[in-house]
Amino acid sequence: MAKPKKPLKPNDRARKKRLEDGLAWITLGLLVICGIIGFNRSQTDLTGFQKELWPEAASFEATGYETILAKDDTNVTIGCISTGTQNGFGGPLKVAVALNSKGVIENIKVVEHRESPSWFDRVIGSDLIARLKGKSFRDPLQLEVDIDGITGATYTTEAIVMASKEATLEATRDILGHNVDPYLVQKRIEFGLPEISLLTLLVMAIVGVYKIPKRHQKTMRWILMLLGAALLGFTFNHPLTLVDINKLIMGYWPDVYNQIYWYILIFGIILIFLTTGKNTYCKYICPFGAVQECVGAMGRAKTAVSKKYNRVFHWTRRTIVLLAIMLALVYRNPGMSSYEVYGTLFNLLGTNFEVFFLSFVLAFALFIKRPWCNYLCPIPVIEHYARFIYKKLKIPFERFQRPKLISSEITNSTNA
Amino acid sequence: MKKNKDAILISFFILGMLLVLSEITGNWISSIW
Repeated sequence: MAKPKKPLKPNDRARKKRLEDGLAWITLGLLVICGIIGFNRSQTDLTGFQKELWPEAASFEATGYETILAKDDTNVTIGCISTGTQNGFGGPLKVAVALNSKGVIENIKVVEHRESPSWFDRVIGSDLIARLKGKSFRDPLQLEVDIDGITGATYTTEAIVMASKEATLEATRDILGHNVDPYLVQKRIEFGLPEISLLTLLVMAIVGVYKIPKRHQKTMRWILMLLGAALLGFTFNHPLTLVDINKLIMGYWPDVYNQIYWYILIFGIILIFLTTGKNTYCKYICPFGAVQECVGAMGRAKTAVSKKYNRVFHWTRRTIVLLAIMLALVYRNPGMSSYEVYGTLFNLLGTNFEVFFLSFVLAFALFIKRPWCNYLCPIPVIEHYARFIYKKLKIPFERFQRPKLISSEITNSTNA
Repeated sequence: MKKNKDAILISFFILGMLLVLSEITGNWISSIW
């Protein structure tokens, strides 16, 4: 029979707390150092791609930052090269576009991106670039209007199309001197069904926590989880991932006009966390959490916690997540360290390795309740760290507030 | 019974972490190649 674990002495507890605090501050230091290293890394040099984009040109002349004129052997301008940048799934994606003198796209190359390699290869392997070639600045150049999208890689496809449009319109107007309809340049906020669904789910989660009587909370939670899986997972394919957190840390915030969903997701969760102190996303909305709970209900999975190894599991996961974020920071690539398995499930697409990884997690979900969330997912690690930082920031704020309270108390007592 | 539960957890965790590390390393190598 195993011996019962002795409770920690107050001295041991204080030492443990000091050690954990020290490690948390070291983590912050490491993240700052990696961020600085990544920021100072070299950027793309466009001149390396000019011949590839305009093979017929005899010479090139740089006219400004990332704009190049292409000339024939008699020194007559035959077109230009310009760039456009938009945020894809993993961060900024830069496209270089070769245009002829009529403002028609001759060639396109993605010169810089931070997408997950497997998704990016899928887009580049498709005929998207071929579909964009031959389009003029007068065309709408819009997904699902005159360009067909690519299933399962909406953000990357949209970023390529939007960046090509931006480069085409700007170069046609500023370098080639054509009149561009201002309506084409104007941006409009895209607020549709995904954004409305996400907002509704977040509001319902707060209502589920505070306004619903306790006896109905379980039903409410299941309704929210199933809606989350159906909408955020299988329909819109955008649950919260490490990529979103990396983008937030690195400042690669997407275009508010066409990706307002990202802002609602990130700032909605942060706002709920700051006002209620609860992580409602993981418990109520996370689509993969819902899928695991459905699988667990079939296999009658139980909550499994190993008292003996829990600390080892905890700290190993924290170390791996820290390494993953450091890697993304050093390479300035939010998508590089993403390891979540749910993309494969919700898009119903993935490599053999990704399908194996997903099946492995779901097989264990039959016996263990939410195995991914409890042992592998990076989001709870971020949540623990956010709690630590929030607590540390709150202490000086409260110290600052205290003298005010005392002075108001003195005034009250004097008045009385 | 308890040992059995620990064994399931440990095997899930070790295999899961190995898969996570392979995924991150794979992404890293293909990004810098």
